[in-house]
Amino acid sequence: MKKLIGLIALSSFFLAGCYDNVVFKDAKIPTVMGIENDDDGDGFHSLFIMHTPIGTSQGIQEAATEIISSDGDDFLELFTNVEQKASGGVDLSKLYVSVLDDDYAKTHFEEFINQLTFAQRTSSTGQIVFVDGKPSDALAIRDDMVPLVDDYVTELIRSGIGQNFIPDTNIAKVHRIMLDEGQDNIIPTFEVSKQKDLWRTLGVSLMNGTENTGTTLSPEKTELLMAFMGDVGKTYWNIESGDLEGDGILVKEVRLDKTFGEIDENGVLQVDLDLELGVLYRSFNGTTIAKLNGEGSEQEEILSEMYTELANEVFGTLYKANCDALGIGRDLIAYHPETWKQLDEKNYYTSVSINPNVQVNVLKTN
Amino acid sequence: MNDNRKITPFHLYFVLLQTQLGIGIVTMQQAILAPAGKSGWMSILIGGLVAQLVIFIIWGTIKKFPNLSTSEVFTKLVGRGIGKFINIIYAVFFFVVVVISLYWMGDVMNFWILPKTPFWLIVLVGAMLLLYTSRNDLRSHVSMFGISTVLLPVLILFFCQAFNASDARYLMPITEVSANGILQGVFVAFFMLLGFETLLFYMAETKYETPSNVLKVATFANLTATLIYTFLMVVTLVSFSSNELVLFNQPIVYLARTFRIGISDHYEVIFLGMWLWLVFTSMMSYSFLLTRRIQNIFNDRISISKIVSYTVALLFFVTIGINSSVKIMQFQTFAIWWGLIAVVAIPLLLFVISLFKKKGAEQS
Repeated sequence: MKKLIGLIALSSFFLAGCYDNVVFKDAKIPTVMGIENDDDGDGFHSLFIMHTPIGTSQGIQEAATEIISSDGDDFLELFTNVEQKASGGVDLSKLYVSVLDDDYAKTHFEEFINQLTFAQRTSSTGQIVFVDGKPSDALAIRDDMVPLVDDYVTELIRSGIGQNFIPDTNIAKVHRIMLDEGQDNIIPTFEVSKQKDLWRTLGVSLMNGTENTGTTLSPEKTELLMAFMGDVGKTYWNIESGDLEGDGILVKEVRLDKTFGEIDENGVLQVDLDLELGVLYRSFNGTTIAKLNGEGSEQEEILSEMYTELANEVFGTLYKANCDALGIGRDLIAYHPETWKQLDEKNYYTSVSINPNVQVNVLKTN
Repeated sequence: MNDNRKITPFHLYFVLLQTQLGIGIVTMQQAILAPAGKSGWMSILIGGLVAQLVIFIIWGTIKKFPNLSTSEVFTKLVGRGIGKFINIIYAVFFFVVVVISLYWMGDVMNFWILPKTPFWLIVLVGAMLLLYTSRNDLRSHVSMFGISTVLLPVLILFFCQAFNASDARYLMPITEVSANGILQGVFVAFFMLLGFETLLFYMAETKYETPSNVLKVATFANLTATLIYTFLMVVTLVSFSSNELVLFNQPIVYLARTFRIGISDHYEVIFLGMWLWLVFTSMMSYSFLLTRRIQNIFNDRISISKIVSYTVALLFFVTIGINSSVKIMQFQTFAIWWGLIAVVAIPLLLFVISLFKKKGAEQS
């Protein structure tokens, strides 16, 4: 009896592993995926890009990229077709970047995010980015500098997030904000530079709920918006106009104060945003450095005015796109629920008037 | 029972804690969020207080009979016939709890880690482990409960990562949910915290100097379990927007999947490994009590090995028989009503009777 029980116990343990085994040698593990509307406009086209080791005559393993492309009427069909093309199956658990055609994103953003969120074997930490044009073109770049396009794209996104010139848009975060009635997503958007055949950052696309508004915020404005969102990176901000042209700052400290007023008789809610930036100032001009000593220096005033003006443009663009990237609605739901109840849940952002004020404090000069 | 085979109050802490922490770690959030919403964490804290009341009642009854086994206490208080009937009620209750645990263990593993493996096979693995462990006495279980407790700080540290991408605003406003919603949440939380009621049986298997030692240990175990469940609920609430939370069956597993440390892309597998261990120790405790109740019902005439073999076989077949979400819901509804009798009504009844039989008890 004991032997029989032991046999059943052992077989059950081993059997449990048999059903879900994965032969990694044969499996296709893509790191980058592109998805776009197909040429007819009635279905989708996708590309899954993965590394493939190649044996050389010297026996050294080299890597190349392999692309599996597929068409389908919906995401499920698309994926089934890809699975059929890959003999060992496709494992999306290492998918780091999903590149979406911005036209596709205008109509199928929600469906796509939901599919990646609820699919069992996908990574929730993969990034979502848009490209201006077709991902199949953007991922087909061939250049001596870019032998492996998947490496190039993943490194570009990783360093962009690390240096805070693009926001972290992992699937889990995008899904969370997409379903949050008090906040909207901003998605990094790229284009392929015609001259160099490399990707260039266009900035961020502004979303309104599940809808891609089609409005893009420039990289310079994106960096300032991200400072308002509390992201301090290692990005060096170049000053490209005015008296301080050619100099630059490195933001080290960010402090944001939000003040919510009452809804006035016109139905407008005034919100004051006071952003304090502690920066390292870099200049190649000795006179500028000399003037920076002491509190309330002229440069600090110039910088404060310059960034306040830029912030007004940023929030003006967000207002036109009805994109609440900062989560003003979330603040209202959490801390001012009575005010929130008086606003239209779908279009509350159009009733909010944001008054940004940026105060730049130079902590140190070069 | 031989005093040398009894456990110490220190051991009792691990036994009670591990019995309380089980499938609820994964299933609790969704069950409480439905009625209590953002105030789910409050429901768990209040649920812990209600559980503490039951602990007081059980302790108040058993401490009057320091040298008797629980079955003897039943006989002393309500007579042999009713005492046996109460044992049957508890045997059914423990059976139902183990079936529910086995079902959810199989279901969660099937969904998240072993999608191609048949459900019955995962349940069979669980049943085989129960078959092996339920034959041993309580003292042999204690070391496993102790090892399992080491996982708890790891689990807490693991979920602290969630605060990197959390938003505390999702907890606000706390006044949004009605008192009725919070109370419904308390009802659910009370059942998720189950395990404290096993004090009724484990107290008699504990060697203690003063009864207050046992009370302190049981209170501390209940406090630990309540705080761990509350922590997991808060972590869940700050990590998902409310519209998103309703879409997930097991949000805490999904949350583990979103972690990024660098060495793995699927932290839910690591989390579920820890959870499996906790579920198993909880099932082990209930299975131990179940087989001892059955042995007691048959007046110790059947060997424990036979009882364990037949019971585990029955547990396996009943669990695989529940092969749909509708059936498990019906089964859980039955468990709740049966649980109200076993966890609240009987301890309360025994306590009231013990008040009247105080004198007799002191003499015994």
